Order: sequence, then C-alpha cells, then structure tokens
Amino acid sequence: MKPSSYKAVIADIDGTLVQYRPDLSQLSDADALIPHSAVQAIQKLHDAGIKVAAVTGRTYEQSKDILVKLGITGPCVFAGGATIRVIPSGEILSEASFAPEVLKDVTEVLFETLGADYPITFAPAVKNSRLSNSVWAIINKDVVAGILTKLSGIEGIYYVVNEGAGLDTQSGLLILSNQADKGIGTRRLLSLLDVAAKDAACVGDGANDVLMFDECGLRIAMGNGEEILKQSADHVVAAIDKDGFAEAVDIILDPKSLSF
Amino acid sequence: MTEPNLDSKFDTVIPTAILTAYPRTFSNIPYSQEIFNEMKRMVGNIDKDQLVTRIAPELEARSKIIDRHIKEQGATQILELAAGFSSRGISLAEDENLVYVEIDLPEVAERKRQILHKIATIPANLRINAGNVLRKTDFQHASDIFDDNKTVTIVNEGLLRYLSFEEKAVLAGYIKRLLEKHGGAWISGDGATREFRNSQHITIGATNTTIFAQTKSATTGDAFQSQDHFRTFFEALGFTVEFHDYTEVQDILSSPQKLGLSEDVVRDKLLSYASAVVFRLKDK
Repeated sequence: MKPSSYKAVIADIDGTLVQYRPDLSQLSDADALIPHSAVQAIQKLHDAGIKVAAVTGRTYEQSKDILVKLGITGPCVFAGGATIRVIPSGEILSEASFAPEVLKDVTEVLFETLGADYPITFAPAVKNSRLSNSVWAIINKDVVAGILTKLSGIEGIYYVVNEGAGLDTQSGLLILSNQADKGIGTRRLLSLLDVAAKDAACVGDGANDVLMFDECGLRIAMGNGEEILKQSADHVVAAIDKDGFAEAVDIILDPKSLSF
Repeated sequence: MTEPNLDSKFDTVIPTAILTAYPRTFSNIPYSQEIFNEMKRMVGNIDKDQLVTRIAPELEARSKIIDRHIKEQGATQILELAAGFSSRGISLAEDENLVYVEIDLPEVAERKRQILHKIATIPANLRINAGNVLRKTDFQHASDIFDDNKTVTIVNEGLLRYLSFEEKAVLAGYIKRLLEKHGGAWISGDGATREFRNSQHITIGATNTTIFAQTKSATTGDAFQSQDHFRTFFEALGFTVEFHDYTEVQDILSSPQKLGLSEDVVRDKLLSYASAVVFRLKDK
C-alpha cells in the first residue's frame, strides 16, 4: 500500500473516539466507552508513522485516562482550545485563560441564570493567577437563548453550543476566552507537531469541530455528527457505534480513497 | 508563586467551589474565610478581580435560615445532603451531643476532608460520607449511624432545584422512610418563591459533572412554577410543607453591610432567590 500522504490525525474525543456521555467525570467506565475498533485504528496510524492527537472540549483531567487507554500520548488540545498539555505528564505547552473581569462577568451571568449551586465546571487555569480557562455546563435547550443573549454582552469570550449525540433535551455550553477555540488550538498543536495544515487529517462530530476542520487538509465528519459539520466535511463516515472512526482511518491511510 | 498540583484529579472541583465560597467570606458564617483560604491555597495565587460577590446575601440567608430551623427542631442527629463545602457540619459538631453526617460525591467529600483537616480537628461526631444521594444504598449507609430512638433532621442547600421531578420523588421517598423510622423533619433551602419572580426557577438540566456524576442517564431538572405547585407535589408524596421566606433572617445578615447594599435591594434579592421549606410527614 502506498504510504498515506498525511502526517498527523487530529481527532475530537466525545462522539468521535468514544461514545458520548454527558457525565464526563465518570472516567472509571472509560473501557466501556471506547470502541475496540478505535483502539485498533489508532494503532494502525502509529504503525504507519502518523502522529495522533486529540482536540477536545474536555479538560486534561477528564481526558487523561481515556487517551492513555486509546493509545494517544503527547501534546493534545483540551478545554475546547484553551490549553495544550502533554499526555500523560500534564506539562502545559499553551494556555489561554479568561481575563479576571471577564470570568467575573461570565460567572455572574451563569449564577444569576442557573443558580450559584448549578453544576458548572470551571476548568482550572494554571498560569498568571487565573482561576479558570473554560466553563462547561449542560443546560436545557429552553434556556440556551436567554443565556446566550446575556453572554453576548460580554467582550473577550468565545462560546459554542453543542447539540451532539447523547444530548436530547439539553445542550452543552462551552465558554472560552476569545483567545481560544478549537481552530486556534489545532493551529498551535500542528505547529508543535511540526506538521503543515495540508498534511493533517481531522475527524470530529460537533459544531465546534468546524473550526478544527478549517485548519486541516482532510476533514472527516462522523455519521453521528451535527449537520453543520457534515456540510464542511470532505467525507462523512459511519456513526461511532458503527465503527466510524475506524472507517475514517482507513480513508486516511488509503490515498486511493481520496479521489473526491 | 504557589503552583497547584498538576496531577490532582480534583482540580475541576476547587475552582468551581472557590467561586461560591468567596461570596460567603462576606458573611460571618463560621469557617467561611478559613475554607476559602484553604481552597485558594490549593490552586495557588488567584486574582480576586475574577471573583463574584453579588450572590453573597442570598447564600448567607439560605445558610442562616436553615440554621435557625435546625435550632428550632432541637436537632441532635443531622444528615446534610450534597453538603459541598458548607461549614455547618464542622460548626455544629462542636456540640458533642450532636451527630452530624454529610454526604456528597467522592471527589467533593475527599476535598472537604482535606480542607477541614487543615483548619480544624474533625470531631468523631462529624462523618463525611462519599456517595450519591440518589443511590439508595449510599443514602442508607449515610444514615445507618443514627440512634433509632432519636429524631433525625435532614438538611439540603442548593440541591433540590436541580433534580428532575422523578429524582425529587426518589429522594423524597428515601427521606420519608428515614423520617418514618426516626421522626424529625427535612429542612431545605430550595423552596419555590411566593411568586414566579425570576430566572432561578426556569427549567434547568440536572445532568452534570459534579453533583450526579454517578447518575447514568441524562435527566431534566424540573422547576416548580409556584409554591402551590411545590406544595401539591410534596403533599402527594406524604409530606406537609411549610414555607419560610429568606427575609425572615434578613436582620441577621452581615454581608449586605459589607457590600454596601440597601435593605430594599437585599429584600428583593432574597425574595427572588428561593424560600426555605420545612417538611414533615403527614399524620405525625
């Protein structure tokens, strides 16, 4: 087989490499979430000398165990693009946190709208006396518009609403500094990996993966992905429960399949 | 600068906890400042400009109105559900004649123990249990320490409003069985307000990463539209329902003065946030 022309594969985690589960902290069940076909596909990429990295909305802490089980080590993008850290050492290569007054404004909106005790994940920032670099909450669809209206009045943030598989009446809301998103994170990651955009293939399923797609030469959407992402994709593969990631890897590894 | 422990798997708990612990430092709730300081130490230096104060009166009032009703109950055995980083347990357990049991998810419970060890000696009559309050075995384990011959007071702050109606009913069922065995009351800071006043009571989701990480399925938090709705729901489950406005403790709040808030502003905030509720079993 002719070698793949791609030097790196960048993949989202939830809905792409693993079955989506809203309760992200339940990593003790990581084995049950990972399709065996995904582990095998990643090994095939390693065998072909292709670098593999994740770009995810999860925090480093929420991702570490699952990425190790998948066989992905080295730099990856976390918290929707807010940080780049190394699996499994945790070394921080890049971090874009909220400016203090911005985090305060975001927190006030969420506390006033959802309540001070609402389960909101403020992902920890590490540098510059900052408290958080991203905020994640699962909220009911009927309050999304109200929250977004309030957030739109805050300068210095980027936010995205995911309607991915596993979310029925609810949506995932991710809020970041405007210095961070999956596109910026992917660009920094590829630079760290010393891989040009044209030599990178990416696989994703969420609306926020559109920005990742913009940074890669080959774009593959999962069959369970959001419509907006599929419209931006070069290929749409099967859903995650039908071994979609393995299918994507076969496309990446076989140049003949790229005759689109 | 103190750097946090990069390997800590708990550090998504602490930044979130800091954001709600800071407003409490404007109150005179015991150990509020110490708990906040210890959290801050865990994450390293933080810029205070990123911390909110706006919700301080509501949180102080909720804590104090629950304290008031615990005292009125003459409670000697207390179970606090989803206790988080509340200081009520360590404070009330200074009374050696009282048994206080807290239950929260493992990562929160473990962090809580670490923090309390730093700021006080955890007395033998304070038990911090790791578990999910919606899991029957966890709930039963948390309450098995209680003396059968004494009443139990169940307490919760900031939990009930995030549960779906189904989850509320499940939790109420566990509490009902405990009260049937011991007698006592259930005191909650999460009652509906007299009027549907603000967005606090809009329907919100309960699936999350901190409170119910062990809940398997996505659930929808359901909100009560009025106190009548709230009352009808819990009466059908076998409880009597007694509402208390947060304004009942407005005169003993310390945070409004520190924050320069007028009485009218504070009153409106308290009436808008929630009410306290004392539940008792019907026919008892």
